[in-house]
Amino acid sequence: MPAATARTAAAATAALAAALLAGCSGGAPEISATGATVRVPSNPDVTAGYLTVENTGGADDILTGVTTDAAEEVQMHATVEEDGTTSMEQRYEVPVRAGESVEFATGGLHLMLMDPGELEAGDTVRLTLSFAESGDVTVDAEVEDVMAGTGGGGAEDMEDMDHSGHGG
Amino acid sequence: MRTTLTTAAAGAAAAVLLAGCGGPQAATGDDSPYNGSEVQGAFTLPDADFTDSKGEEYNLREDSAGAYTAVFFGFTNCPDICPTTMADMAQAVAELDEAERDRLNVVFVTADPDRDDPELLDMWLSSFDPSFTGLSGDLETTDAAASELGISIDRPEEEDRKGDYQVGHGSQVLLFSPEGESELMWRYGTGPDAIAEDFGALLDEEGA
Repeated sequence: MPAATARTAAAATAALAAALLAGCSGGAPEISATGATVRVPSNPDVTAGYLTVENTGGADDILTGVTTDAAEEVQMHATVEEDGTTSMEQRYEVPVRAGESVEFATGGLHLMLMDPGELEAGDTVRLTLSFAESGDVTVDAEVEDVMAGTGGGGAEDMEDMDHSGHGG
Repeated sequence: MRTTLTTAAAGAAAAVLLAGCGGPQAATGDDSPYNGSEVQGAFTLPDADFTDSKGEEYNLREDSAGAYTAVFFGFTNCPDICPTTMADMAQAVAELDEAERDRLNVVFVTADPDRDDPELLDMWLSSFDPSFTGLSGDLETTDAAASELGISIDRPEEEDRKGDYQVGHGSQVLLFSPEGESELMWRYGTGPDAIAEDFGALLDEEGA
């Protein structure tokens, strides 16, 4: 499939870019993933996941994909607003630069879990994050009720996203 | 010269006084008592026929009359924006006192009626607040209603509406008066506290 080819090519390019970047800055990326949550699916076909990825190392890295046993597929999406229309754009790579962190949060970058099956609040879902440099990093996400995220702060999260490195 | 200056000073003083007296109806900028944007009279609830999440006919204008109505267009395959907005609305409603709550309806209109039938809408909305009304209509009615309300819908062409497609849509919530005239607009990310506060302030304003 052309899409798969494009993705493989993108991943290869990402890996190459990361290797070049790492070579220049004389360090290695040090990746940690924290605060991971997955929403109880309101529609059984789809739900969202959120987390923070931090790179405390001395070189940039690139998140090239996420997988989990709890869903058929995990896509990375950015919410974009253009001319009053809010839509989602898939990201195949998300740079995580040395010394920076990237937030997957509502209103910005987020994980989209396709066909997540039955998930209940309190369950734990293991996410495997694939990085161009650091390889696989796993994090356990807590399944949260859809009402758990309320309490405002959405707009603040959106502003955070503006400078935390959109991929692609 | 002196006269001119005096006149100018008097004018400035008058402007300050007037600004100080301007009620919420006149306020459009930072003076607004609301967290949302004031859009009084900018939009009217469309006279459009939908099916509600219980399978009953629902005319957006007629069946919403008599109560304040908050309207949002979205789709249930939307993983982030739509559930977050509905969760925020549900939390806002939960923060109202009972008398206030009785005066507010929340209506979710699907921008994706091909996939969102009344049954799915009912199930989806029940995870937020079972009292919310979900509406589905034909594409033409849906798009015309959204357009009347200044809400954009960007749906893939029919041949591309397969599998896991997404539908772009305006992410604002519009609040209408019991007469069907727009009052406030909340942008995505307006928290439940801010929404509940605005609704309370609006009821106070009308002296209810």
